[in-house]
Amino acid sequence: MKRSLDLTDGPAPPSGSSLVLPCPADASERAPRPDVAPARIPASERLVGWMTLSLSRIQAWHRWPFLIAVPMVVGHRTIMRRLNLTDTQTVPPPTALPPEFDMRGARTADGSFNDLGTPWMGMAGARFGRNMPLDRTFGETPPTLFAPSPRLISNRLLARGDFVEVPHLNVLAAAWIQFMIHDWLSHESGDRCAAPHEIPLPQGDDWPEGRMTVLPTRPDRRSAADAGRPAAYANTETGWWDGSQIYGSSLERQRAVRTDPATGRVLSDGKLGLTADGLLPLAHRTARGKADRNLELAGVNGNWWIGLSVMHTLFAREHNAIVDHLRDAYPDACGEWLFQKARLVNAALTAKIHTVEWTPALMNSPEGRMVMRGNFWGLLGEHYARAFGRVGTGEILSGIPGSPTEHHAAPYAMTEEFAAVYRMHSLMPDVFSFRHHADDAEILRRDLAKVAGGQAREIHERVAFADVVYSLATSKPGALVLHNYPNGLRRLDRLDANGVYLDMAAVDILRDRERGVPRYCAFRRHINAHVPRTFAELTDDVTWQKELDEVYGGNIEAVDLLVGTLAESRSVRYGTPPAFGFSDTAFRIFILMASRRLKSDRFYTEDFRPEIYTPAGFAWIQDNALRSVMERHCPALRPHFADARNLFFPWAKGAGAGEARTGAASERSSRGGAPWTKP
Amino acid sequence: MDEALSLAWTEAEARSREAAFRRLLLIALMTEGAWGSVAVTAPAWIASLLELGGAPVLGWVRACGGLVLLAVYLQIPGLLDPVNRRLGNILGIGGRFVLAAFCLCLGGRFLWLAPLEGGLGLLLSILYFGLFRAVLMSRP
Repeated sequence: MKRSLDLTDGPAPPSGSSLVLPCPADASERAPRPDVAPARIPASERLVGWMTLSLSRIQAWHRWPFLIAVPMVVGHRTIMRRLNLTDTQTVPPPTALPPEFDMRGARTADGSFNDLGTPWMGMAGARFGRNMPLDRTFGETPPTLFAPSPRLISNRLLARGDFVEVPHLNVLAAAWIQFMIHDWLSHESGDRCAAPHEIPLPQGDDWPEGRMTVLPTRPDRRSAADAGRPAAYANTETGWWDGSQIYGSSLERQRAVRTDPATGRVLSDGKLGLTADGLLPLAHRTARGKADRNLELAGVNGNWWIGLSVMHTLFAREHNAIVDHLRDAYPDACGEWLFQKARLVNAALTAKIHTVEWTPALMNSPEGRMVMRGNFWGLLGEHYARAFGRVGTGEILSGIPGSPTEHHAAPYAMTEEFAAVYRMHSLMPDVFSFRHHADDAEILRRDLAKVAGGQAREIHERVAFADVVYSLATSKPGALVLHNYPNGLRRLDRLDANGVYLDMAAVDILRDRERGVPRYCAFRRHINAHVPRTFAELTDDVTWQKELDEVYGGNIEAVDLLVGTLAESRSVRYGTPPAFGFSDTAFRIFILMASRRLKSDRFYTEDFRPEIYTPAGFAWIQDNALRSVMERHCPALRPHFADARNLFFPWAKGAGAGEARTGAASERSSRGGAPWTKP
Repeated sequence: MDEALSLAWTEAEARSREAAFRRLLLIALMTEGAWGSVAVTAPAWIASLLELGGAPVLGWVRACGGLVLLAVYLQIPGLLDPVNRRLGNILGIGGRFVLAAFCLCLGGRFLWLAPLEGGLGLLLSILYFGLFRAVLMSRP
């Protein structure tokens, strides 16, 4: 049956081999704009912002009752949208649209043409933006760059002693966030042409080589327009929430992941290449060309480990399931069209899972859950949204998806500060135990280094995929606190040069300083958060106060951002909100950027509609969640996660999982008293 | 495993809070419905109870009784499905506070009605907020 091109009547699957261009007029109608004018803030939001500032002078948002705390979060976001978005792009990167590509109805491989008026926005190669005023983002140089020594901080404040776990999360949560970060951002490889940083080693340090060198981050090429401005860095991935970790950020990479490993040819049915047993094909090298035997193929396959392998495998399978579903709905559609639509749907599904599942798992309080569900469905909620659609164009009642696109104070870009607060290596355990889901018997035990890179594939060869998922889902990640940085990452054998080691904890500290991310107190000052004046205000832990005082020589202003966010985990007044897995400092950036990833993206705002996604694809996003993804691709594990409220919470172990708990639950609930009640 | 992480436990918790809210709302609506019915069918008795005077007010009492019955009727969807039919419940709870304030202003025998409606509104709002939180925390 021939379908019409009427956009009000669903999609029109082309029957040819390339995509039809339904909307060149749209692009030409919108004149290119050199910058984004700050949006006019509605009076109601200004009022909430003013109220937030006033109330936060009394106490932090999370110490207020629910009905005040939630509007305060909205207020903080409103303020930050005005004050904490800074553009760094002076010369936009060039864009080139592939011939006959439907830029209105599909995402380009490199992320260009998302904003049709500013096509370079968010594309691979565009610069990181900032959440700080530009004049506060000049990178530190020696001697302050090394004061105090990042290695000293690594040894004294970050090194893991006893493993501190997060009791309410599983390791899939750690894998998920890295999976997402690889979608949003990556810096270029170290600059081999520049003199390496030489991090001073503390006395008595047992560092193997006697000196610690780290290549500087390669800054983006400067132009005359950059005179007097701080160095800026390019994001090598698309900044959009577009699944680029799965599909790559270039057409070349996209073709690679669409290649059938059995034939070496690009799959014509729109699917991603998987082996006969449903695993990722082997690339044997990273996307940047670094050799690594047995390394799996993905859009982004750097910093690979078994958790990432699981996520990529699941969502490659999910892509193929979506393609099958779309083909059933639109049998005349060609493979290219199916691929592009399935990509849209798959990316939106990951965005939904991140917003209403992963983030609430880490912000496990009514306030956190309300804020994130509100971001997606608004105050009216999921039930209303599905039954009646949106009410008006605002974000408060009906959420961000489907509302008008808005970039607020700057063109869309990931920011250096966002990358900095997402340094969550402490989530990683040092040891992984792989077990049978049937009886919880251990099959294999490996340390962190032995589940990384190409060795992840060796685990798949010895342990069934479902058992790998089960093992991660029943293990706990590390808490984001001081003294909990995995030691496996503090002496990492570089994959490209055996015998050359890397201390990731020291590198994390160095990178923030080098890239001009303000230190903790300055950072908090710029986001309108309480700034501690003493170490006692930073953390309630007396031992930590003493250690911080010693390492930073009594200078609270010198505390690094990463250290501060980990130390505030034990600060009741100003630190990590109750039941949150990450700091209040990080949360402030999250509420800004998590909303922005949706609000700036045309495919989650103006074009988040069945006419673009297809009715079948749009319904797929609404109907699915991580639970259904897992049920589809790991059905044997269903008894283990059946009773997990959130799939990032620990699953039930062993045989008989998910049976006994239901009766106990009813019995306990009759006693009343919700455990999440605010103290 | 922590109970709050269990889907069964949190859903049971939400169901138990829903049952508690529905019980109280049912009692409130039955009481208010009875008052409304009496006001429609025996306005003179209500008028004498509230010391409203003679025949001229009977029409107004009957009209008020009708409005009360209408308000009760409009809250029935919220009684049947308090989680998904929220608007009626929110307006109903808010309306009780408004009515309590109105009765306070009127004075006289209406002062007896003010704490009744205000207290009912307060209890319902506490239970409804508890239900809201429990449902929220039963979600992923």
